[in-house]
Amino acid sequence: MKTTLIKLFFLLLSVGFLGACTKEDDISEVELLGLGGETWVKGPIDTWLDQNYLDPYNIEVKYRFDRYEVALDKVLTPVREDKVILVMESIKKTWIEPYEQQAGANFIKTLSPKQFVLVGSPEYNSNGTITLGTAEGGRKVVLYKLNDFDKKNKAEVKEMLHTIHHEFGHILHQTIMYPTEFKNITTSYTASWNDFSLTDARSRGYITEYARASPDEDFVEMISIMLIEGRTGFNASVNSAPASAQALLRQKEALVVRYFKEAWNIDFYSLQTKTQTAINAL
Amino acid sequence: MNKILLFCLILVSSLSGCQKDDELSADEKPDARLSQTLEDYKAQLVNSEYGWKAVLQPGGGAGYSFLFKFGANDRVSTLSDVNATAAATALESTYRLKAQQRPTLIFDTYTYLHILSDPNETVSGGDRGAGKYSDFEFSIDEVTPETITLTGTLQNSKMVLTKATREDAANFIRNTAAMAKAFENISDFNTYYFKRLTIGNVAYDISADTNLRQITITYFEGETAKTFTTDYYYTETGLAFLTPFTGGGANITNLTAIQYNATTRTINLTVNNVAGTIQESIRPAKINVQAARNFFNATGEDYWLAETGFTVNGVPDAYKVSSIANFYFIAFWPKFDTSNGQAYDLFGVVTLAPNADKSVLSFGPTAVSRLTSDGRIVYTYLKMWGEQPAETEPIITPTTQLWTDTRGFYVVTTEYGIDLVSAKDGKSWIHLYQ
Repeated sequence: MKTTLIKLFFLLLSVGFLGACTKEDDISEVELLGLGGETWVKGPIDTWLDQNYLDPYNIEVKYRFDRYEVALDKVLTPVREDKVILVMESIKKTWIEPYEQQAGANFIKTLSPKQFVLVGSPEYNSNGTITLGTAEGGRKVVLYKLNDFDKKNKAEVKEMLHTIHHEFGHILHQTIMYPTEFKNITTSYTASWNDFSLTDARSRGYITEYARASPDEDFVEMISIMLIEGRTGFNASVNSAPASAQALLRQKEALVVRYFKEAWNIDFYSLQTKTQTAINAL
Repeated sequence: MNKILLFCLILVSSLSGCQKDDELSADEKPDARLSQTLEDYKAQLVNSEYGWKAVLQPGGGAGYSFLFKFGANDRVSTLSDVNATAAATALESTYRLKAQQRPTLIFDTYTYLHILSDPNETVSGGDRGAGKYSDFEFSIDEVTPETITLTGTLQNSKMVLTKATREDAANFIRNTAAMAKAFENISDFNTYYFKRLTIGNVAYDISADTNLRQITITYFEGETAKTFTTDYYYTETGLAFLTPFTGGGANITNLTAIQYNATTRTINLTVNNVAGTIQESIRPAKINVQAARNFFNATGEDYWLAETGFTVNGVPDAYKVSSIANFYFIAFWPKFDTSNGQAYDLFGVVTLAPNADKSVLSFGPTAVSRLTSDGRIVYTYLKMWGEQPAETEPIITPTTQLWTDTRGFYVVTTEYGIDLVSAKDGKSWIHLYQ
């Protein structure tokens, strides 16, 4: 009896489904509006960025604050409008153009990160350090502390370029890996790199404190410091270290130069000179 | 059986029912309604001819005033009383209305508003990495034709926009900033320890942190000193307390008509239509006898700690006690020991040599203390305790002279411990804590 009832129920249910209607939504007529707030009236800054970054390199520069591009829980401030062109022009001259001159017009177009996000303040970390730049998978670079940017202040300019050359270095080695022997030159990598002074790091054969974080960071710190400080500045840093550390730093330098030649057919020392000339000409 | 069948039929028919009439007209779709709402908000912001007055209360406390003029071109011009420059020169930046969790107004490039939320503490005057816990992204809570109420999305700041008149556009920030400028002279009252707020014939000790916009008033309930602290913000007519002061029968919500007289170093003001002043003072409005007695009755089991020597005429550690070799701190030790049956106090220099594993109570002047009937503690020099290094003589001699001045010290309880303030002229003091 019970089974019959259940069967009957399912029979009726299936009939019911057959009798149900089909909904015909003609999606071609639906206009997708979005939620708004993604576009704005273009001003001179937008036009300049289109002409200098978006059109030639397909790089988007996001300067109007967007919480979802940065850490959700960090206290940050937007960039000042009057810093945007100043910063991006300096970056063009000291990062894009030297590479273009050395490696050809397509090099940056192919490898560059596709988005720059500009932030006015530094990002403060819980361990007392500040973040000046981050990169995500070679696609997006976030630059911080730009409200302090002054192109006449070479130390500040180098600090900012340090980030870009550092992050671009990551893109390069994530595209073509550096020689593995680089990882064995020095081996005292540590997560608590920030507990040690620069002198301490140099005496162990690391060019900066942060270079001690991991071989990848070490490799791109080498690239970055060699480019922003130039050959003279880099040599001075090396020579200030104890003799044992000097030898280690020279080995790393040689591997960076070799990597650029073998992987990218770039004469590193020539790129280094062009970058220095550009920084000094700002 | 029939009932069961009937029930099945009803159940099935209700499950298989459909509503064919589900087409929404275009302007009823959620995204269309949302963008319409945003457009309406923008139109309201832009269409106020003289812009909007705003008072922002950051999550971190206090309040700040702004005047915004929103343009149809997504740009906004800002004046503010956050500092003198912001009050004098309008700054243009960009804004956006965007649908996030709720319709949100974002000031998306830097303007004066962002000073408060700048994580660089030298810019904000707040905490490193946090600023003054303020916002520049606000969800829109409530809208009437005259006001818009907003809440910050990160720090829960509150901001209320009020439609400005032609008069407001010209004067709101100018007047507010003038009140700020007049009151902030209190920051220059730093050679004397005591600042006295007099209203009619009532007097209080007052102190202000003009960076955090915070006022502290000391008052008495019987013989017991109490402190009241409130955040405040400036208005066109004066300064408004965020918490009313009701201690000791008072009722103060505003200080109004604030003016500064540089010749007499006086801040003139009115409170509830009664004229008042704030001035530097050589003595407290009322001596805290209880605090002096408690301090004097210490048993000698423990010492108080001072990180440096005396502040004199507004100069911290004027005699450079902290320049003594290996200086660690001052152990201010009531009833340190006895001499011929007489208890005495020690102003002890504690040193910590590099690589040493413990600090050493090294040397220091001692004095016999007594409590006067009006509530001062007077120290009479006794002797030098320990081996005083000869080179510390230029430091220790004036310190000892100040400490053993015959007019003695007032005892003030503070948030952190106590302050001893010289009764000679009210211009020297030392902070002690335990």
